[in-house]
Amino acid sequence: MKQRVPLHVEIKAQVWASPGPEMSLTELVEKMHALGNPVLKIDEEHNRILVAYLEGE
Amino acid sequence: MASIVVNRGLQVIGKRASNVTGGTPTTGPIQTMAVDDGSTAFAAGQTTLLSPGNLFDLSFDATPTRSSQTISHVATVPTGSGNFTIRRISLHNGTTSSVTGGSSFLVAGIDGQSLTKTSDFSMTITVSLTYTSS
Repeated sequence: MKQRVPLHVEIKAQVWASPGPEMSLTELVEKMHALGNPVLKIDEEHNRILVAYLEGE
Repeated sequence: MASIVVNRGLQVIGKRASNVTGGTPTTGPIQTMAVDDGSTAFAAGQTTLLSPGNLFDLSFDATPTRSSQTISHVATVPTGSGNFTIRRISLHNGTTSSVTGGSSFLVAGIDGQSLTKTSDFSMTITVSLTYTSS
């Protein structure tokens, strides 16, 4: 007997950028725009910017 | 863009779950994340990074965690490393420096990205694998 059971693996990724010691969060936002990176969310509490939220097709 | 658990990765997951020992693929834990600027799409039969160009591989920040059917892997690319356009992110069940060439440790990957990294900032990357039966 063979029974087919669906099994899916979904890959997601998120990428946060955090400024180095010489840079403020505001400066990092400007840097991201200059580099052409997305600025999806600014998390001031954790001093970081969400630059990618990836879901597989 | 494609994200894929390659055939080798599926074999690793199955072998580890059922405690099948010996033979290939080797069944060490997923322990390395790599970022690179290669433009080659990941494919099911791939067992290592192909044509990575600029490459940075790193260990996880901490032991991967589980929530329901999701396993999360987190690694941080520091300011001084990975400073190129990141186009692919991959997971490997071998140590760092064993992600390309003759090494066969590729488990999963995401391609088709374009994130320019510089030494002004670090990047913390979370890659999650969610297993579902529906």
